[in-house]
Amino acid sequence: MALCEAEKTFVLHGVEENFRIDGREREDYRPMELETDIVSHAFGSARLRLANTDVLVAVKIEVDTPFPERPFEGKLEFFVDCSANATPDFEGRGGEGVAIEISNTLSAAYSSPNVFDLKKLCILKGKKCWKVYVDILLLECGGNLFDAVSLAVKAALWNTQVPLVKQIDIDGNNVEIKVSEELYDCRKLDVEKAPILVTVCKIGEHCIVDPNVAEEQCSVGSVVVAVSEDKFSTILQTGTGSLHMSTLVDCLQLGIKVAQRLDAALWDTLTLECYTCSTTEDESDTTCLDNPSGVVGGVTDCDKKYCIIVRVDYKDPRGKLASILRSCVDKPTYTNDVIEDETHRVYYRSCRTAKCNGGSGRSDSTSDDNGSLGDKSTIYCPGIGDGAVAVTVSFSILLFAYAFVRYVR
Amino acid sequence: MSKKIHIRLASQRVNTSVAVNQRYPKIFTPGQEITSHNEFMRGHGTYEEDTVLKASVAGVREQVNNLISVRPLKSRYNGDIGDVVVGRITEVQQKKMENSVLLLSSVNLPGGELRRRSVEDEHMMRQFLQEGDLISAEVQSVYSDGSLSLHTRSLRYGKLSQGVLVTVFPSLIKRSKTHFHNLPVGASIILGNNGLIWICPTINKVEEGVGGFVQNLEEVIPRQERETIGRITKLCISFSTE
Amino acid sequence: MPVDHKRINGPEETVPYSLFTKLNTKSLQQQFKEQVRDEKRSDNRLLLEHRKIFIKTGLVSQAKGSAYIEQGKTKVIVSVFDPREIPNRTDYSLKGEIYCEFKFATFSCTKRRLHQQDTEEKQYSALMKQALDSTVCRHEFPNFQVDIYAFVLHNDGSALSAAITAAGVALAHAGVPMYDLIVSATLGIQQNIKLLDPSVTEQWLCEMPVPLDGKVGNQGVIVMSMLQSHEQISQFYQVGNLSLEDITDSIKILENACKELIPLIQKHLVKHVLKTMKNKSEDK
Repeated sequence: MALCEAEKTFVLHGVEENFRIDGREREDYRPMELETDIVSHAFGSARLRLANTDVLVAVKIEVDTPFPERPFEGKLEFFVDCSANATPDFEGRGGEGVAIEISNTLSAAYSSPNVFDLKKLCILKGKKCWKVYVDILLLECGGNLFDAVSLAVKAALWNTQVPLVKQIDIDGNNVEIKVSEELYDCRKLDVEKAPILVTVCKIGEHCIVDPNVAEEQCSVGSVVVAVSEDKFSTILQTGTGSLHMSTLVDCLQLGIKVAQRLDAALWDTLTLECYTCSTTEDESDTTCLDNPSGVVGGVTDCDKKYCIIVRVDYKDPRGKLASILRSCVDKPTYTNDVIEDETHRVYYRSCRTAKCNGGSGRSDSTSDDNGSLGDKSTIYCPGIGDGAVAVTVSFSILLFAYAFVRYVR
Repeated sequence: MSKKIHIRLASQRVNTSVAVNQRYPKIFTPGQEITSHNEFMRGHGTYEEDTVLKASVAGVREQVNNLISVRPLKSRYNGDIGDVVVGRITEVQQKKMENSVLLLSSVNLPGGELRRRSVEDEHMMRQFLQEGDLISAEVQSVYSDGSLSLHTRSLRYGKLSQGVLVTVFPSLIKRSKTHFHNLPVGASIILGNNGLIWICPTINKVEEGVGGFVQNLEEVIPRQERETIGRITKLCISFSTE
Repeated sequence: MPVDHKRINGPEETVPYSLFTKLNTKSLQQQFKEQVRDEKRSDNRLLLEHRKIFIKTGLVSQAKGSAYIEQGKTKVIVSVFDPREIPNRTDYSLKGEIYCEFKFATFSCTKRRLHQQDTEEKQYSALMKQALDSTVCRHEFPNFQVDIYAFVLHNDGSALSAAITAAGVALAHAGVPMYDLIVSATLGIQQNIKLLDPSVTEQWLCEMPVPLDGKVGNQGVIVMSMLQSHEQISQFYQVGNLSLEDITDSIKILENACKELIPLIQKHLVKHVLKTMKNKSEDK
């Protein structure tokens, strides 16, 4: 698609006015949607949709021999596949240039040990290491591929589970590795400092981020920056134009600022905010039970999937609290259940939205004696199921039910 | 002050579909039997096999007297004489555009109505129209192979200036009396029958006296009009994806 | 250059013997200390001193234009060929294209290079194209392509910069219209030590964090190409881990380095023209 001069002028004036054709300001991003853990055969995966740009990333891990010059390090490799479904331009070998550019930029961005430590992928010095294949599939191109790809790669690596090595047997030159058989006995990769790529596009006299296809055509030159925390890990000038020195510095400033915001947004989405506190019957401080939001430092950014509540009650006297634990886990022992033994009754609750394991656990009802779950257990341990919308709705109903029960009493 | 960037989780996606309990007409799929009565006639989107009428496209059944046809849900644009189309010039030689031809003889050139169209004019054509330019035109005739001949012989048609182009499915655009609308909110819209919608600042009729082949690249469109155009663009996109 | 896929490249996995020598047992810190001592480098250069440059044009007789550059021990040959029609293209392009191919000779590095272009070489080719795209007046030869081949005979660091500078000279020699002369420079950074035009060991040491005085900090390598009289940066590439201040400082250093290179190249080109004129008049 080639734009005509008038359309380009319209885009250009829009950028000057700080009101782009889709109503965004110069530093705004289009809506993004993220999904993780969607490819079951992969060790980690993510899909990111940025308006019309759609990227799927899957991570595969295999055992390999380290490079002889770097015996302590594992390997990380990026491969970009430009599906012809994305745009007809990618047909045949048309997407090769784009693919090489993206994968090279990513490997350059991840090359510094300050950004991503390959030493952690080493199993046995000089003999065995993990090789991480990051396969990137471009499903749809709607502009700004670099940013979308880097976000999806970071999310996929965050999602990746590296199998835990239990035992290494060395017999002469043969090395045998025994991997833990437990499915959930895995180690996560440390991707906190993994870089985020931001494309800064110069249109007219101004710099913008997240250009769409039309804006990419209007740009005279752009700079791709890879930012990890407050440092640049890679800078690459793209496009056919050249930039003035001061423009380049402006682009870098804008790039680092936006990248940090983008990184924060990604973490917000990836991590789950849960209340984390506990109390037992012997402790006089019952804030965790009554009002978890009142506990100092009682909220944690978990990189787990579920927020949970485990509440242990005495059977006699009925409903007397033994202990309550609010925390986060990857795989709850029981998602939503009540387990009883001789003396205790244990309520398990888990949910998947931010701060969903809150709510007061205090109830003055002690006479409800039918033994079933009933309303009572949900009052004790609010938050049901894993559906995001359902939880918010049911939660308000619960509050209402709680109030109602109190009123009746 | 810039807004905080937000990334939504796919699990938090809200289905914004409005019509949930709407009744849909029966949709035929290719190869599905429509009728086995042989008194019906075969129309578009159907084929006959052993006296059974079957659908060849996915769509809804339409019947006019004995003629049964299946109208596909999405289809390539099939032009009709009198249609208003919006298009991009892909090649300047025989003045081709998409699958259609815009012939020199059917263009209103600036500077007098009844000019003799000479070879010089043909060379001048590139000055008026270039690859990538957007034009609005009317379908003059349809060739047997389905390609179209266009004309811009009215002051309404011609090269488009500053604005935004939105592409939707051609079947979503209804044929109507007028496809040029000056909206009261302060923008103009051209609904091309081929699914291309052009949204631009209000067209001032007085200025268009030169035949619609002049672009004003100097003009800066004020913020307010931009906002209106932006809103209409978003509306068109959301209507077309619903 | 056609790639011979059937060529036998010897055993698939070979390792240079130098990895097993005693040199390799030295820590990174020791190696770095050996390279940079008291503001002086191993070849007696100051930290921000460029190596000596030697340029010669017209080495490749069958090419339209060519240049040979020696930058310290780094040696690169660049040849530019006549514009030809863009192969496998149906639509008309208003601007001409530039095709770049960057190749290390198999014997140019400590580790043997393969005959086929590897990813690093492909990356360098793309960077070279980026640098030259905005230098050449591409609108003057629409629908045509200029081929530029860079061949590194000996890599002693900053090979890409040397190749880009040489490509500028070769283009000028070939008479391809250009907006300005292009020069390129490389800077290696290890914490607060900045090394202009690094040698291969220095460049290698700047690509990873080296603990100096017990600290690990910023490191990186920057390659920048400039159109001097327009004050335009046509290519910028950085790897490593650097803060914004480091980069703004580095841009200034690289700009000055480029400024110093320009008169050398101008002088050489003028000399070359005068020489050709002299030769021609002698022929008559």
